[in-house]
Amino acid sequence: MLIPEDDKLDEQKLKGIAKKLWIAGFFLLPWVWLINVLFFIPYRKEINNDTKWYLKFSLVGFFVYTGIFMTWMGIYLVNRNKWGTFGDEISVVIPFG
Amino acid sequence: MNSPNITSRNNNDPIDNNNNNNNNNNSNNNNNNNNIKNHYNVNNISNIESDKIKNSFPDDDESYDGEYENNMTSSSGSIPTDNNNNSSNSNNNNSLFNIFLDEKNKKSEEDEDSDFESEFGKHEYELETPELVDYSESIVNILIPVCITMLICILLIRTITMNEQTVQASPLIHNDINDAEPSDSQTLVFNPIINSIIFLAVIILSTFIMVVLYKFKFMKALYGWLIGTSILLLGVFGGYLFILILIYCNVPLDYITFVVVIWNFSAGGMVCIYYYAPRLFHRAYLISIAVLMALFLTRLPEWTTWAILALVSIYDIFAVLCPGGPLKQLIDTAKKRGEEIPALIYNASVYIGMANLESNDSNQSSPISPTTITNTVSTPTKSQFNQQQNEVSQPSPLPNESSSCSTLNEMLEDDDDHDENQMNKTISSSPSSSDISDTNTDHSIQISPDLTTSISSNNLSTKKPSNIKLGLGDFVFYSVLVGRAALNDMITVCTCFIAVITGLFLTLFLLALLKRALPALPMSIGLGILFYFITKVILTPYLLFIGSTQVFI
Repeated sequence: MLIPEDDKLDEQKLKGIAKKLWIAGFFLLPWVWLINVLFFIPYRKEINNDTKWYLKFSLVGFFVYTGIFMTWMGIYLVNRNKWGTFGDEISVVIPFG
Repeated sequence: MNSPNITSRNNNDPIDNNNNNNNNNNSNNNNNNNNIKNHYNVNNISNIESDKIKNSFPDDDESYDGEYENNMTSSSGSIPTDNNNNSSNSNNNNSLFNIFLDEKNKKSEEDEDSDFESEFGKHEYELETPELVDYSESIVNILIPVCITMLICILLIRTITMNEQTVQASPLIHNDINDAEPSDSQTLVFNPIINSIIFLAVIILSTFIMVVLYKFKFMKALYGWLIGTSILLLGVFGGYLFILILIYCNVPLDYITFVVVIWNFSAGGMVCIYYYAPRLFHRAYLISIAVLMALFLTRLPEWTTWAILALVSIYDIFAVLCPGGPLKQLIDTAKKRGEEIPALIYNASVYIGMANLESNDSNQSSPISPTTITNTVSTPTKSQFNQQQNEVSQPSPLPNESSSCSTLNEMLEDDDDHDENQMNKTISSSPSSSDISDTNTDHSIQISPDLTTSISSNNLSTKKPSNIKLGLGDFVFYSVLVGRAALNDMITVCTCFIAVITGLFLTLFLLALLKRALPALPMSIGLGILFYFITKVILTPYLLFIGSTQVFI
């Protein structure tokens, strides 16, 4: 909506988009990084090396962040019972049983 | 826009009939690889043109001659290209004539009919253009997301209500979902009325603010507001729904992960909705916004829901159709400025584009190089035409294009480039007011601008013609109605579902006839409410009786 619907994208614009989304991803937003990569799939033939650099590190960042969160979730799920009160305090949902 | 050739809304193009392109595309799609038909069309077109110009060509000329004729004409200058719908050959003469008139009379038009939309989900309108024959595809493409939204809504409501019965929907509105049977008639009558009036007032106020902001060009405030509301909606409602689903699944989750997930969901939603993102995600987020909104409106007390639905439908009529209506003003202003309507709207053309394009991506992208396309355009020869057709698995507008060079530019698009497609669609879809008045019978003709510039894209693809836009508000209220029915039993859900879709069909049909922005709510909601009560009062007891007495029909 912020962008004109009939926008035509050239290399510079594509690079700008990749860069902006890449920067945005640092705010704990791996999802945006993934969107960034997915968005450029149709444009893969038109992008230059700079754009590719951003996309590559978007993908890397996505996996890094996701890995971190997944690891944390795993630790939490395994250790929730052991942690006792602390485990309950950081829980949004406390399951039955 | 980089290419000067493509008409933006802001530019007044000589291209009058974008609708024609749409029609052509659809027809082409229908007749994939049907060379015979295409030739036939070519002949007709060429003949018609020649008749117009020279009055000397017989209908039986070869297709080559026809093509030659068209090329000559187009090269000579004004280049009205026509594409025939297969079904509408009889109308071609009229349409061509009209086109010529249009070309002479109006070089400038307002384009765009993009219609309306509503502010964050409130009302919708649709805009449209295409011919009835080709219309079915676009109808289906707008129906699919509506159905998806309603289905998701039904599922979630059935799921949630299994768990807990009481949820505060909105602090503004008196809410007590448990008091299904209000004790006295006074509360029964007055609570819904007061609630719905409050609700309507909120809608009117926000619409009014939107129109004022847009009229006086406070665009940043407007977008800030839209973004703020949608991020809050996604974050708060989405987070709440997330918790409900977690409770339902009985899965533990810690706050850190929860916050990160919700933050990603809502911030990613902002990127998808307001910035560049894959179309699939764009649609998905629009649908999810509608679903979230509908879910939490559904939880209002029953009679309040009905009162709100009825009032909003009536208000929708006024807002869209009245000369002073806020939504009409919004649409008109957007048309005047040649801009998009600043609201959450579901654009059906997006869907259309996706379905066809994605399937062809792999096939088309490699073989056809931009240069080839350019060559073809400049010198459309039979061999090249055939070659291209072979390469392009999807029926493209090429056959017609070969006859007339001018059409190519619209049709040529990068399959992969979704934005381009959308752009073209937008352009093509907008019927000018003049067009409508002049060429009521047939919109199949299109006049194309320069060939070369627009062709920059790698692949050939069909541009999808029809451009129906439905406001997210429509999605919301349809879903509210169906969701309300889902609180009862599945019989009611089915009848309401069908009633809503029938109403949408009727509205779309009227849209094709009237060719102006229409309120999408009244018919669907009216039918939905009607069938809800019919089912509840008559059908369900009837079925229960039949079931209990073991009568099988």
